[in-house]
Amino acid sequence: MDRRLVLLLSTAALALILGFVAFTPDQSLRLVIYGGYWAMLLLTLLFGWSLLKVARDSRADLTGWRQRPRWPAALVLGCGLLLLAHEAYGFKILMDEVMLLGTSMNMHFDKTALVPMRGHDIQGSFQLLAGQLDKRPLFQPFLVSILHDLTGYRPENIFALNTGLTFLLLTLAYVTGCRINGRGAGAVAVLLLTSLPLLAQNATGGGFELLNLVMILATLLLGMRYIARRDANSLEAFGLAGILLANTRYESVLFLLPVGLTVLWVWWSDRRPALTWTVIIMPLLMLPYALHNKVFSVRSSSWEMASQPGFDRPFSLSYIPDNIAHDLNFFLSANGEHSNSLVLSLLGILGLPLFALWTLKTLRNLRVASPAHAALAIFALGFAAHTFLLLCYFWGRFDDPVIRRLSLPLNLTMVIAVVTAASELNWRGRVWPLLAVVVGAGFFAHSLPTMARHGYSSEYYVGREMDWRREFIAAHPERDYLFIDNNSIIWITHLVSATPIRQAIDQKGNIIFNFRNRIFSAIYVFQRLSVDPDTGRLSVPAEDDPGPDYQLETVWERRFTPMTVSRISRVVSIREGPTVRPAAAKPAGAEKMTPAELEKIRARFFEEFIKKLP
Amino acid sequence: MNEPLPLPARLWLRTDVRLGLVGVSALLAVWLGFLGVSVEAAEVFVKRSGYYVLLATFALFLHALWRLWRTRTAPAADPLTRGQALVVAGAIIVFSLLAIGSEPFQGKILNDEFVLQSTAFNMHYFRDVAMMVRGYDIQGVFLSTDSYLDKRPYFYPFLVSLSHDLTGYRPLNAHLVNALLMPVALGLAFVFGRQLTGWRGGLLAVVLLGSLPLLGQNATGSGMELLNFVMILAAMVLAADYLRAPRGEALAALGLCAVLLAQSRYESALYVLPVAVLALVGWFRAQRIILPGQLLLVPLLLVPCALQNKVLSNSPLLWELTEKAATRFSLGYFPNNILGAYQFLFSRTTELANSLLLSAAGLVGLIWMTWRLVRTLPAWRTAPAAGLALAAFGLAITANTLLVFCYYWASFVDRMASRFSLPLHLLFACGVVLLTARLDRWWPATKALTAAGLLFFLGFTSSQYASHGYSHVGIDEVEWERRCVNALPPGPRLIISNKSTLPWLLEKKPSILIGRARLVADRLAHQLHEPNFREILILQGARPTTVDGDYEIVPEDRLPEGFKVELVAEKRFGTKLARISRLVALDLPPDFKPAGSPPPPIPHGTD
Repeated sequence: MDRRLVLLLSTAALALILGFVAFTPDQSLRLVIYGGYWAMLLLTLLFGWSLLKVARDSRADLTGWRQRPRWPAALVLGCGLLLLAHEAYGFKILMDEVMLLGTSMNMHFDKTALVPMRGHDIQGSFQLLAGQLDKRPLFQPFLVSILHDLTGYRPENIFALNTGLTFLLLTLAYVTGCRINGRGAGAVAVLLLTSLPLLAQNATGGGFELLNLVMILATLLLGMRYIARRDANSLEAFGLAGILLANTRYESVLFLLPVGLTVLWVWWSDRRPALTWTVIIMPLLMLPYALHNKVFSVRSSSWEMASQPGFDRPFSLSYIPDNIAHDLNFFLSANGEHSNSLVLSLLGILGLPLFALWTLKTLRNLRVASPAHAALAIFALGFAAHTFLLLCYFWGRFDDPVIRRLSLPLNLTMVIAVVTAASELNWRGRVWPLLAVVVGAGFFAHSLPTMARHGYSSEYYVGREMDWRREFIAAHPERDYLFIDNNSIIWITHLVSATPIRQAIDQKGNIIFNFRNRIFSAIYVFQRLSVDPDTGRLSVPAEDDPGPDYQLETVWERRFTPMTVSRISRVVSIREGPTVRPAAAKPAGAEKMTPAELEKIRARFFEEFIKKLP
Repeated sequence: MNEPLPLPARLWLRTDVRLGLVGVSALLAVWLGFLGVSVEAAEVFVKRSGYYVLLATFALFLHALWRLWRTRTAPAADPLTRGQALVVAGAIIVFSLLAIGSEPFQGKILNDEFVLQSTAFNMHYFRDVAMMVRGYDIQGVFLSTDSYLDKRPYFYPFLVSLSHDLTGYRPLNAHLVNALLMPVALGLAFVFGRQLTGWRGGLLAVVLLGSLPLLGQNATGSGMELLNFVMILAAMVLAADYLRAPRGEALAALGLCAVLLAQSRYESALYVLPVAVLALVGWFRAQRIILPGQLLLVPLLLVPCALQNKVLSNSPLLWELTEKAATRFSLGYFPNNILGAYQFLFSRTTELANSLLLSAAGLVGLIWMTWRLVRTLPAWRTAPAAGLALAAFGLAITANTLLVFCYYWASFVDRMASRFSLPLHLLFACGVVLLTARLDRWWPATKALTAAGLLFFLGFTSSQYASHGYSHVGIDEVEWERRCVNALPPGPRLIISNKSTLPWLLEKKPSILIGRARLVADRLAHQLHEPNFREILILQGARPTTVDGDYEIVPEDRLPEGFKVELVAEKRFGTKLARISRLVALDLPPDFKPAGSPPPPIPHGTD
């Protein structure tokens, strides 16, 4: 047996032992906290280096690029701008995006993979004093931290990264389409993606969804290249892209399945495994993912089971029927409230069965398939596995505002399915203009007005509330105040000292010390009050109540939903002596209701509200 | 037939005559600088004429550089390829932008940088080498009503005043000058590194110095350190060029560069010595005496430097000694400063602006360089030009550093004094470049260390830049006060400061110190009822007096009972509270005696 193959098997065995046996969960998490940044740096540098080598090998292919048409660049630029034009930059999904920002912040300041839990301006510079390892993979926060490193820390860097990734994604989509069936297919792929309001929402947000899509397409394209060239440099780039993809989103580790199958198939068909030292150590490069994944066993709350009552397992086959119903509700929504693209959904639902048949046919004749088609067929297994996993997920309902973004890989699958199916039909080359017209019509008729209204972002009031907090910070640029807010991380990531309400109650003495000695120019409290639908009376929920010891004066107040009022108050005095805990707040009507009752009362109130508009 | 040259020209062409004239010039300079001029006359001369002498020196230097460029020899033996040039330019631009973007443009060292800016202010408006103590808007013109000759060399203020001359007065110019000097410094580091070992050596020097936060800190400040660093590098580059092919144009540029270097920092006068030695070495290597006309002026152009030092030596008030320190220089300070240097160079926190990589590699490089120097010194006649220049300047930098170690306030671990280590870091970088070039014979050390330097930047320097804790030494308070006052409705104000009047005077806002306010309370009471000032603001500090806080105004900042104030703004800095109040009434006590003419205050700084 090839000595290098033995080494590869040895590193794989070592990786399994180190990743799953050798370290306790606590030790694993500590390794990720202190080594996560460096692991991402190493992976990124290796990937960058492998891409440089690939580009060097492809220099001959690039000659004559000046003679190539320029409209694809204009198309990508125009479509990218369209995606960015309609929605303001902001945090769209909370706390996910803020947690990612927090990790990037700690990576920038301390090179540790922690979300800051405490931070204060102590001697002039804002110092992060405590933090916690987040469950989210580290590649996206790492890239944001590099942006911080190169341009200075600012929360908006997370949006800058997604802006750049938007154009990169469209470029990769174009190239993927070209690989499948020429420039027409590339253009249609770009147009289909542009018609997706969900993509526009994420392009102007701070999540890791766009990076995930970019890495999926990059891995697919490198897989196509590897099958075509079968050389060591292509293999390295392909493998490293897969590893980085696994470090982008939790479930994207599934794409290692097509990556592995592709490599094994090439080795098998060539009758020899081509191995370099980088390939040999690749199993060890998966260690950060394996160790990080233990966060789910240490903290069962990471599964967020509590957010959806009635579920006891994160994954189950029994969730599939319900999820399919919700997913269809998302894909076929015509009123624009779900950020779906109707034209993509309709074409995709038609294209997916054809794509499945095409995949089966291609897999059977893999040896005679073109490299691009062979790679795509193998990758289709990854797309299928990904979709199946989400269907088994307890919270895999795409019509839920927080979950919609999980449909992005499936939307991408639809784009590829449409393009692949159309390339099989072709209709004497007329299919691409026809599809472009259909997509354009769908875009102008449905997607564009949906993007313009972007009700799907506005209805998620937590995001708007977050923007409101950022408005407050912009209006108080000295950032020398303390916020008492249960979502303290939001403030800390914006370099404002903050502590949760529970801490303010438990550590009242400390707050009094700070208040008396003017450690902060002001102390503010953020609360979300409930509205009694019958009386209109406002009541402070127990978790937002600092208790009677804190005398508050309202500074800013805004109603984000009919049933809640968000309020920022200034602490004007704090009563000394033993802490008087907040009385268990008499729940407002809304708090006593079931979600269905609440929705009914919300609809009634909304009707009343419309009637009484002046 | 050629016309015979006139007698003066014929005499000038004779080497012995020119040598004699240089001797006369040197003797005259020594007499003027150290013997023949009284302290008072020296002060007046530097204050009134220093600007013009420096202007002439600078113009001559630029002219010498121009002539050097025009008479440059054929293209270099190993010109940079396009790819190499792109990589180097990219590295210089990126590291410069990272450094410039790492911190806001604001002062770093209280109050040194304000003093330099104040001297630039007076040079721009009045051509006086003097800093402002008081200033008022009189009939629409902001006039400096009290000023005195500062101890700091004034090449940096001169450059800032030049930027004011060319673009209009604004305090920001002082920072922009330093920001522009950053790529110049890295560019010169590349050139000298390339002269030493080739383009890879130059690139390594750029990476090592580019990942030094101390340089970034100075690139966004308004101090004279970066200019000093640039001038040392410029002198080294010119010296290497002169030794490579000794000629008049190169020596003229080198001599004038040495004069400007001597005007860049106090102790930089030391570098005149290696320049003189290298000039002689060039004569030996060329087998002839090279004496360009400009060299005749060099001793005389150094006279203001000597005169300013004379004024400083006779003005103990300017030494700013602490209660513990009786003299400025003493061997007694050496052990503590050595310990401080070790703590600074090998610090692993983000609170200091060191580069652990440069310190560790540099120390090894320095030891190796010293050993090489001892081994190869006997062959100095045939030694590589850049190596010889490095040896001479390396000894001067060592002497400079040892001198600094004997200074009472030079512990590098003190964030106010870290900047004195910049020349030492330059020596470290050169040592590393030489050492890795030697190691390249066995394995690609230069490439490996360049890559390590880039990784080090991402892993460590970026964190130091991110928090830049080394720059929070009191200046945040001044910047906050400025922001607060500038956010108030426009109009003339008198600022009574507890720190320095300079930040306000530089913005053409009248300001006096609290001590003076106590003495001139009657005038303040008068101004309260006059329309000259829209309001009178008072800046004070409060500190905790018990473990529970119980903040009180510090005694030095307290005002007599009769001063009635209302709070405008308050902010904590560390454990201290800064407070801005408005003077609303002033009741003079019955026994108040108006002061005649209170003495102007002397601002404090490190040096």
